[in-house]
Amino acid sequence: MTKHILLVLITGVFFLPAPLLPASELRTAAASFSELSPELDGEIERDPAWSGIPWSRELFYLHRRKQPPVNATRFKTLYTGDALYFAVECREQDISKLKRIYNFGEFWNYDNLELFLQPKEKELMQLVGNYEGMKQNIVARDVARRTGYKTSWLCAAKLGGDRWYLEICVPFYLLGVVPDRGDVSMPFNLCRNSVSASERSTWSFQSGSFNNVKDFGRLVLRKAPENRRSALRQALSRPHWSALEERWLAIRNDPAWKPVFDRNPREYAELMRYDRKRMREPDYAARFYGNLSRLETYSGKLRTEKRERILKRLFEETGHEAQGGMP
Amino acid sequence: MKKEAASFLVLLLTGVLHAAGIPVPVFETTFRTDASGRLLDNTPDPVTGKLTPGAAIRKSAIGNVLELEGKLNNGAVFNSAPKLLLPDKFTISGWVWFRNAPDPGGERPYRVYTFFFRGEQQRICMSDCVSTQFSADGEFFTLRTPPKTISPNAWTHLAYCYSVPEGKHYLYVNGVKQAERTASVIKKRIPPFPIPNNAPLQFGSLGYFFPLKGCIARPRVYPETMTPEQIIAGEQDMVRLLLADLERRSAAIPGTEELRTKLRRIMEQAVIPLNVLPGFYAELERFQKVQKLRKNAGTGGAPLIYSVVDPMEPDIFYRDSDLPESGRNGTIRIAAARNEYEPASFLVKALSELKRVLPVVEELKRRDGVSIPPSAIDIRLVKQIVVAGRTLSPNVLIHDDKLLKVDPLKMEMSLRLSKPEGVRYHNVTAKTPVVLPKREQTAEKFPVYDAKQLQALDLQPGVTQQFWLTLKTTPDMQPGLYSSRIRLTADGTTLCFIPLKVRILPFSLPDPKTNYDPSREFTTSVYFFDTADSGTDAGRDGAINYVMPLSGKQFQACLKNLREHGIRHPTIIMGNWFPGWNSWVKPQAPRVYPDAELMKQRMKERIAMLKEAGFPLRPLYLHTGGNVGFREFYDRKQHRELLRKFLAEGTAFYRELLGHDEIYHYGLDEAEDERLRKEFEVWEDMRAMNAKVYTTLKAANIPLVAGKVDVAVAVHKPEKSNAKLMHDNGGRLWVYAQPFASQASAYPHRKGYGYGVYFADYDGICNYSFNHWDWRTIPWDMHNQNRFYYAMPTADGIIDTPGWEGYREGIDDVRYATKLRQEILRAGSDPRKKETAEKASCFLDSVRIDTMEFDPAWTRLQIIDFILDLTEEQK
Repeated sequence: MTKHILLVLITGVFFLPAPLLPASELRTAAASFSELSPELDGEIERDPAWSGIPWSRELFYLHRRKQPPVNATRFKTLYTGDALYFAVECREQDISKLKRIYNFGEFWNYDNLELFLQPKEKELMQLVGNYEGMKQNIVARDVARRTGYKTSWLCAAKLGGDRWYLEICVPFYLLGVVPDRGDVSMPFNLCRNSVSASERSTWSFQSGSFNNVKDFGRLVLRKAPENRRSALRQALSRPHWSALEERWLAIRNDPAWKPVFDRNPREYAELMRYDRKRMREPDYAARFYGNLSRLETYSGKLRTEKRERILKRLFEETGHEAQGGMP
Repeated sequence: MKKEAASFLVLLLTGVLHAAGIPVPVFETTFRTDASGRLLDNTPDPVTGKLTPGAAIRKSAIGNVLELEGKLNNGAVFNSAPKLLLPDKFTISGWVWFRNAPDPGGERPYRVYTFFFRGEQQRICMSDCVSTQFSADGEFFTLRTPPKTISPNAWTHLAYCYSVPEGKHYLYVNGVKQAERTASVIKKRIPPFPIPNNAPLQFGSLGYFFPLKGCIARPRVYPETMTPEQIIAGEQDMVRLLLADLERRSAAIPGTEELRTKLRRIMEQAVIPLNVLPGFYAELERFQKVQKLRKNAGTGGAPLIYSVVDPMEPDIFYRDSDLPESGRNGTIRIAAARNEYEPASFLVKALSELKRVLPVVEELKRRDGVSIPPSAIDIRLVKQIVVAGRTLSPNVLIHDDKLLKVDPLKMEMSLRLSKPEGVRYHNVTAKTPVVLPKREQTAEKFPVYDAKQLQALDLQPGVTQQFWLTLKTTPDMQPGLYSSRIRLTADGTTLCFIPLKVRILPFSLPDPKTNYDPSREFTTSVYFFDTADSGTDAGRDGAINYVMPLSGKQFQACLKNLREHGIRHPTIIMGNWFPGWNSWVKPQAPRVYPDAELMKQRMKERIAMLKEAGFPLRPLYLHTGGNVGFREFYDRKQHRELLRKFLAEGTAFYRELLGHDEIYHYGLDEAEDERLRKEFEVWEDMRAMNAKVYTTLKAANIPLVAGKVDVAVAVHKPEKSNAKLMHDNGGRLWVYAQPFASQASAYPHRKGYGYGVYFADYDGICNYSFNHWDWRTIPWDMHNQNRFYYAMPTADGIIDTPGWEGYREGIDDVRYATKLRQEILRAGSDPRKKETAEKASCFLDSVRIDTMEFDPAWTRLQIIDFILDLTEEQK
């Protein structure tokens, strides 16, 4: 009798319907808090910040095909008090075949890595870097508006004998979300264009174009340690030092800003004296931000005033114009 | 008793379907349950099923439906059976409904909805389209409908057919085939092969992914591949119930009498197409929105509301777009120089049925009484037309709404043909493309005429209608501020006024020049498919597609339109090969023109018309068959003297016509790598023989061609460094495909072909194309494949599109910048204006086109301000 029962049980096991598992359809990567910030120089192996972080294990897929590419890619990720970091290793079968870059504005024509993140609805970010540390990005208009056009992020690269590394720093100010209350999960994908091997590959299988969010995997930012949550929240409201620097460098020599500088000499003088090395100090960056904000607020005010003046000049608007409507 | 009831149902189902010639399904469920709660199948030899958590059965207007909460793994699962093996052919169908489409940016498992799932290998899913994946042995058979083929808040019928004997698989939405393929997509690209599948049938979830949040009704599996007629016939009971339900719901909303009449009329038909449903659902939603608007205090009981919008903004407005609050009850403001066309726009949404609505411009008056006649402002309506995929798009600017009859319920459109014997309407949204031989695409067969002025139109409640104004200024207009109003009338009664202010600026705009050298022409060109007849015979048919010769009147209308849109050097493409240039290159470019004299005569007439239309024709840009026919096959030893002969003959011909020999010849279009390099020799020889060369290419090839061509037309985002490289090597740089020509949105064309190019120090623009439509159907046909054009044809001219208006606005932006540069130079000698001139110069040098903040409209406003500063002081 027991034998029969056993036989039935064994048979039953073989004929049970297979569990309805997703069969690796959803990939998830996780980033945890790190006290150490990576030195953004493309050097991964010797950087203590990366030493405890494991490389991703899953093979990339060829674009739209469930096969691994010739040129393998793997990555690590972590976050600090003010930014999310990625370290990516891009293997090359023949490094001499990397395409010389003429105009990285057309980044899709060159060997590159594309990082896609969508932390919020309508805020898709596409950050592109290459083996020379050049970068391009496409961010949704909503992101630009939310950040006051401070959409800076950083990358650095290092070329090896049979691979190249890319380090990416995405400030939380740009990202717009932090894991202060719990894990934060968002659509995410890494895509690689390898001109050298004539192939394109993706971490999460992609049946459509690279920016097809439906086929993204997930990036999970693990909840921050309690003593770091406040700093993270601050990072949301204060632009990253790199964004501040980028913005300042963009306007510093812009003649259009001269009237703003002339009317705010103290802020201008302080900004002109800024010490790049000190920008990572929170207090220093906060002061820098304060000065820059005052210039930008004044610039915004000037723009509004100028616009009103021009419209008044053209259309003699007094602000009491009759509105349209019923007769 | 229950057994008898079940048997009755089975017999009824079989009987009814057989009688209609429809295959009988081997599986169908209306979600009946037995005493133990098992779900039942209505067919012979039934299988049973069960609900999973998150699923419930509820009653609806169409009987029992499966209601799903959107929880992972929610749905109904039915056991398999031998009758469901169906390896060679089958149809899976059913009805779905959801309130909101899945969020593509949401959590991955929730980004898509599932209708059907079977094992790991078969699925039918929905988002803003319907997609299917049926696979086995590493081969994937996938289909995807165009976007917007399935809408929220509307019951939709899906049917997927797989057929090994036919070697195809199809996807139908509401009985209309939306996708079809004959091969797999990944590996071997082979036709459908048998896929036996014994897995359970699951509805509503893909295992732990993509749960539907909505409802499913009466899914079926057939052992055959159904025809569309069978699909439609098999669902007549359901569609009637749905239409009856729509009628009942409409009855509660005032003003829906006509809608209900249409519903009743449709229900009288013997066979009701399923694709009437989306339109009726959209109509019901429209009335519901109007009801909500009427209740809104802000409308104050008015019969309509309006909002002023910027026609050059990135937003596109559709039938169901809400009116932007920022422009509600606003004033239209236009500032224009004394020789330009300047657009403005407003939206109207009627809150009740309005007949014969006509916006009327009143006289524009300056405070001292000087006036501008209302005829200076042309008003057109932005017409939503049915385009590929059977969706609506605001693609054309017309005067007469009746030119195109659009039925948004059926997504059909017909084009008015004004024949001598009377008007008839030609269906341009047939189920399949109406392919016509070239010789039939004439204006005689398709006499399409728009009115010359805006005609009154009827407005339905809740539908947003956009109107497009174009102010045409003339040099004799006196500068100053003019006020006016636009009266919105219906049947002659004024419903509403829109204030209008027009500032005529005290200057005219010059022809555009480059930013880096204000003495150098900024070339404004576009690909012009200029098939012309001899043009002088008034009785000759014109054309409705470029593949047939335009009549003289049409040709002149095209030229006028091009010139009015700022084009000064259209690229002449068609029929310009000088006789005999290509006769030697068979078989590579086998164009032989036996009648050389006719060709010469036609070119002479074409040149005469271009001259008459005011084109400078210096230089002349000809699309001459790829290096005058030598393409990449030029062999210096063999062909040099031939080349010399061709060029000498052609140049002599044009010198006689034009008085000069500045002729630009097109290279190979978008050549790369070896093909591009092979052109270098013929270019060198052509240029040595005083001919000039222009060609299209990618940015990466600019270093290769700099110094070898006279003009590079590059496809990429403009970069100053590229312009400098070309200039340093004696060449010039234009841009195209930034973006390609399109119809519905003006903004990208204004930005891409205006300041976006000018401030990068480029020398011109030449986008593809003015009028290159697919030659297989008339351009108005929904199925017309080619998308890259700016204008639409009529029997006597051209119809503009918002995209084309954006191209003109970009050119005008360059003209404004040119004007400012000229005034800066002029101010150099006047000490009173020196400081202003310096500020203006700094401003122009500081414009950054590659930031997200860049706004062409704001840039132009500041340029106008500087021009006024520099010119008004001259008084």
